[in-house]
Amino acid sequence: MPGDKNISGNEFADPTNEQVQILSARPLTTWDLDEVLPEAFAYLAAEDSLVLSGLFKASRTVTVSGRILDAFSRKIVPFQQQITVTASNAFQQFQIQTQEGFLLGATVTYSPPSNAANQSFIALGIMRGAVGFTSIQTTLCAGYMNQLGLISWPQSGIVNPREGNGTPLTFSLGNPAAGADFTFTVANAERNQIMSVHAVLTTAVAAANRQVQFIVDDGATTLYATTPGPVQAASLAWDYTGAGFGYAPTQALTSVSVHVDPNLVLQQGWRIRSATTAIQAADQWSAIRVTVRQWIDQG
Amino acid sequence: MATVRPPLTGAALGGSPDDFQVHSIRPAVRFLSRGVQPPSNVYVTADDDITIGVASSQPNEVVTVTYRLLDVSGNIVPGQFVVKPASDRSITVHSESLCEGFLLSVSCKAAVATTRGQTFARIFLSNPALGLGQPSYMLMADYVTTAMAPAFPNGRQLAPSEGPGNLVSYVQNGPAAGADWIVNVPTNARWRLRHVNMLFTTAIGGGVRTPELLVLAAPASGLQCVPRTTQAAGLLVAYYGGNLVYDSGIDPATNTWVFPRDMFLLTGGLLLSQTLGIQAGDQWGTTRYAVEEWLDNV
Repeated sequence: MPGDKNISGNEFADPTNEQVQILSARPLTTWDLDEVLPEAFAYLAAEDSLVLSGLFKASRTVTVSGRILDAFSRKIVPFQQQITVTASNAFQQFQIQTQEGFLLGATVTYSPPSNAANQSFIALGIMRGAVGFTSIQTTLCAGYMNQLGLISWPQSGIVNPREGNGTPLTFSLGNPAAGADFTFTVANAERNQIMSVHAVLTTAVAAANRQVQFIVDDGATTLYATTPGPVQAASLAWDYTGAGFGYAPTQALTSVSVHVDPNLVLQQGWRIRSATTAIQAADQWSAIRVTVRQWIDQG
Repeated sequence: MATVRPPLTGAALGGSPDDFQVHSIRPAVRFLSRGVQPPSNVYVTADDDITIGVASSQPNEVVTVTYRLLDVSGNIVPGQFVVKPASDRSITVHSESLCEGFLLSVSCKAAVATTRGQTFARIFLSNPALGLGQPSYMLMADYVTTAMAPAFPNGRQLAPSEGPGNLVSYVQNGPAAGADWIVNVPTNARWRLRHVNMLFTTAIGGGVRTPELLVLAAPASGLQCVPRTTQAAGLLVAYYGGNLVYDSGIDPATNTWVFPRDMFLLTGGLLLSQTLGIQAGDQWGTTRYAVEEWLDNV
């Protein structure tokens, strides 16, 4: 009723006030407004619950909110559950208990946003019966996060984590020991398309021509290798950039281009690394950065 | 607007049922016309709001949201409001109370944006009890244009980085003499680099210059593109960057940079030249570049 307070403390909107102007003609069809079928396709029994599962790339607060047509009061009741999640490359699950009734809609948000946080993958489902997380669930919605972007049921659908544009990310690697090559290993549950690899090789005074090679392997077996044309003599600092150039000049002064397969996609445990022939004990790789497009490769 | 007559019925739009001529055979079944279930599965309570978040890169953008409700008296109630986002890609949020009833439809339309990647809208129901801007029921999320009115129902819920982006070219004044040029990716933008084009004039004297193109997805990372050839003193050379698979390299007045096809840059990313051997009198001209652009983190 007008003047009543809603649960937030604000007044209910008055459907008869002057701001509401009925512009359309009254429909010829008449509606059954006394016995309306519940507007939902998912009924939550008393022993059912919602299950949030996800692989979270950053520690954040996940908020699950929605509406339930309560079975007892027959009121549409909003609900909200906030869950603090920690970054991990393994899927985590959380149970959310709700009341019995028709689930009208549910939304999952993840804040605050960041490029890394948006790479988190979340699914919301229903666990039928109080028998634990291993029971069969009904997946309601699944997808990657984005600020207010969220996933929701019934609107957003179920997305596989390998779909979409992926997230552009850059990894900065620490320097290996002097005289050693560098290695970038794809972490668990990740699929990375290599966009570029950049590193600086500073050669010591020891005389030898170093030949750099970029190698892709699965942790043991070499799958692919590429070698730039020039060799690097002693006492020089050269920038090496590996990318899917297609065509590119090979060298300009201290910058060397390394032609890499333009569709180089690595799964977990696979590596891209340097292999420097005739590397000397005091030679040093530094400023190592790997730029990728990343998808979650699990689930 | 001129009156349009439906070709089959011959009646004017909005005419009474008597104006219509029945050409089809009556269906074998009989449909309810009294006591019909409301044609919506979204019931709006008195304390629900409709909320829209809009972000745009377009100046003077106006997004118009139109909705229809079947109120508790059986009347169809239309509503409309506008949102004017800033052109800096930040999110503008607007909420409006709804009267109780069944939400029949929602549509939104832009006044300026003409293609994807320019103006993104996200519409949902919210309850003040859940907190500001917290959705209780998502309705749609997609780019809106002057021609497309993604809506509820049948609209999609997408992230702003999905689908094709906005192909856009930018022009930026050249730097001071003796300096390299630099381009910053705007906040809340995602770029896929397409083309680069600029002129470089070398002064008299000094050794050869080697202008490199640096594509930094983030300030700390680097894609270093070397030119096809170096540039001697006292020359004007046009530099073109793109994803080439072959370069004939026969024109001494042009030079080439090559970068990968899917080179993405996010907020904080940089595009710049690094000219080895640059002299105080050397001059980069106007910076021209083309990117495919999406709104990001909105």
